[in-house]
Parts: sequence; C-alpha cells; structure tokens
Amino acid sequence: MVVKVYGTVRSACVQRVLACLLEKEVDFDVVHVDLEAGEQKRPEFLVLQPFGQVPAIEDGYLKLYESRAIIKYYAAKYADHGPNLLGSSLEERALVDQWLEVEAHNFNDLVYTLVLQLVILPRMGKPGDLALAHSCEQKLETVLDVYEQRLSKSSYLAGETFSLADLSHLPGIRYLMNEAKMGNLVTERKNVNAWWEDISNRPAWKKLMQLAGH
Amino acid sequence: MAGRKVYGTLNSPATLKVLACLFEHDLDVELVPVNLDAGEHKKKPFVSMNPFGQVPVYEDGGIKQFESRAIIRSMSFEYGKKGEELIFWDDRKQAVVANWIDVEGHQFEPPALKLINEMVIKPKNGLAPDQGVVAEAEAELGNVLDVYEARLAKSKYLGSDRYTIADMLHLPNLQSLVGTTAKKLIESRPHVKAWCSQILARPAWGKVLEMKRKAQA
Repeated sequence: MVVKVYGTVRSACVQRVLACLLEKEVDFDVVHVDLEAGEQKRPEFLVLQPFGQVPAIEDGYLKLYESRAIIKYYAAKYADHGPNLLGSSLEERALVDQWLEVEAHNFNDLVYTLVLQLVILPRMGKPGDLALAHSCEQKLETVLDVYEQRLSKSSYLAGETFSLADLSHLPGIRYLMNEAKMGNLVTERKNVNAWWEDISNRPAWKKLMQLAGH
Repeated sequence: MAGRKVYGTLNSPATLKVLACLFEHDLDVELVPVNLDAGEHKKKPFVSMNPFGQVPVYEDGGIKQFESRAIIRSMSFEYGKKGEELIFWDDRKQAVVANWIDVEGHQFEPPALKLINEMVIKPKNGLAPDQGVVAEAEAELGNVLDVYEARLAKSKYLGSDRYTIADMLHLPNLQSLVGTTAKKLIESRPHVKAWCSQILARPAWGKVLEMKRKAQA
C-alpha cells in the first residue's frame, strides 16, 4: 500500500516527511494541497489535519500529522530496512530525540520567521519586518555556534551516524541558504558546513530536490 | 541509589513536566535548583550541560539529557511499568501519541505560555497585562481547544483511550490557566473540561504540586 502524503513538495514540513520516506525506500503519493488557494483551511482538509497545516498522511487505516511524529513512526516501522535513523542503544535514541527537539524548538522557529519575513511576505506583495528578521538572524547565529561546538565532537548531531535529528534540519537549512540567501551562517562555520555538505549530498535528499524542482 | 537529578526550577513548566513523569514511574529524584533570576542557566557550569541555556537538564546514571519532551520520551520507554506504561510499544499506537506530543509543543504551548505570561507572570512582577495580547492569545488557544474538544469527544485521552505522556505534557500550563480567568476557555468545552479535571487529579501531579507548596512555605 502506498502512503498518501497530503501537501506540496515545496513545503518544508512535507519535505521532512518525504526525505524520511525516500531514505527508507517507502513508496508514496503526494496528494497536492493548494496552499495559495487556502485549501488546507477548508472543511474537507480539516478532517485530515484539524489545525489546517500540511503535511498529513494516510497509510491504510492510520492517519497522522505533525511531520516529526510521522518520521519517527516510519523510522521505527522500517527500522530493519535502509539506514537506521533512530539510534541503536537507548542512550543513542535519547540523543536523537534530544536533537530532534532542539531542531523543533530552538532552530525551526527562527528559520521559519526569517523565511516568512524575507521571502514569503514579499512574494505576496507585503512588507517583511526587517528588524524581526535581523533579530532572528542574530539568535540563529548563537544557536549555530552551539551546533558548531557539538559537531566538533561528533560527525552528526546525535553521534557518529546520520539520524532523524540531522534529517529534520534539511528542508529548513536549504530554505535558509537558497531563498533567504543566508548561506554564510552555514559556510562560515567549519563543522556545520562539513555536516551540511555531507547530509545534503545523500542520494535520498538529492532525489527529493529533483522531485521538488529545486 | 541511581542518582537521578533534575537541574531546574519549580517555576518552569518544562521542569514540572519532567518531575510529573518521574513520579508517574515512582522514581526518586533530587531537584537541583537553578537560579533563573540570577541568570545561572546562561552561565557555566550549567551551559556545559545544556548549551542552549534552558532548564531542565536530567541526569540518570551519569548521562545528561536536555529538552523535556525528549527526556520524558526516553524515560517512559526505559521505566515503563508493565501494564501501566504511558507509551505504547506498538509502533502505530505510539505514532498517534507522538502526533499529540508534537501538537502540545507546536499548537497548545505557545498561546498558553503567552497567556500565562500576561496573566500570571507579569502581575507577579508588578506589571499590567497587555489586553491586546491576552485577547489574541485567548482566541488562538480557543481555536486549539476546539480541535481538542472534537478529539476528546471520540477518544478518552488525546493519544488513545488511556493516559499517556501526550496528556501529561499539558499539566503545568493547564494548572496555571485554571487559576486565571482564561479557565473559561476550558470550562466552556465539556470534553476538554472533563479531560482537564481528570489529568490534573493524577496522584503523580499532586505530588509535584505538593513539592511546589513545600518550597514556597
């Protein structure tokens, strides 16, 4: 059975899910949701995701939303197929969880706000709040300094193997470097840069980039 | 014994969530206070434990972990009491719990914290609440609780028909909210109201509240 992923291939949170499915070689169908037309706020979609956000998935009887919960599920369901994205021991799994939470709570909001103010609002013909964007940029510098330290001690965020914690950062960093043109935040940090080069060259991510037309 | 420690404070919702989880699993712990007012969490030695300078940090058997939801997840898998687990070993069932854990973090907590900041923390510091922010946060939280109302009409608890860590994560902020006029958001939604009363009555949460009372005495 093919997993149905509701959303668009350009949405960062949808990309988080698709990257995981590609790593695990799980077949999927993207069911397009027209975000610009506000399709995600219509009653038919709210049945799938009551907060009116993408992605949502349908896999047989299972319906799920929240991209990080979805990737945890598939990483566990297919633990024996493809790369182990969860960590092997209880301690490794705890570190994967820790850095996934860091991405969700310390990294994501800053990147999202930056991209919203610098890219999305202007695209819609509205002015972005440059002061807010600048403040986010400064906070992001501090956060990435922590990553720089961490990655001087281990090849990936949770240890010596690529995991969901690293995967979860891929869409946000891509937006930061490309549309928001803040690649310097990554390239000026030796270890963060090396890590980004590594994770963004994974075949699954490159396949997704083709699918998304980036 | 096992030397479990939580570095944090009884005013921090994230610290209280971890304590609730420890008590649900009947685990002993030592609370090592971190003085947030003095900025202790932004300096060494604390930042060598959590480089993001946030409480809590949890130590068990010499291993340190930060991010409360990660701590709670791994603790629940490691110490799940047979038959009384707060997680599921079945991947599909746990996926739904994980979904609602993220809903708490992404949808519920942000407007809840905004409201608590205006209605509880600012008054404590002698500042007046900003009514514009209050109205906006109440509207946002109201929308979220509409979703919860629909969910809880079909399911006894958020993640399943039994209490799980997805429900537990709501405890500190719900406790704060029911002490303010924002409690109307909860009381006007019958399923949310019933769920809220149920989970706030958990003995493990009572133990956390007792700890807070003793510290203030």
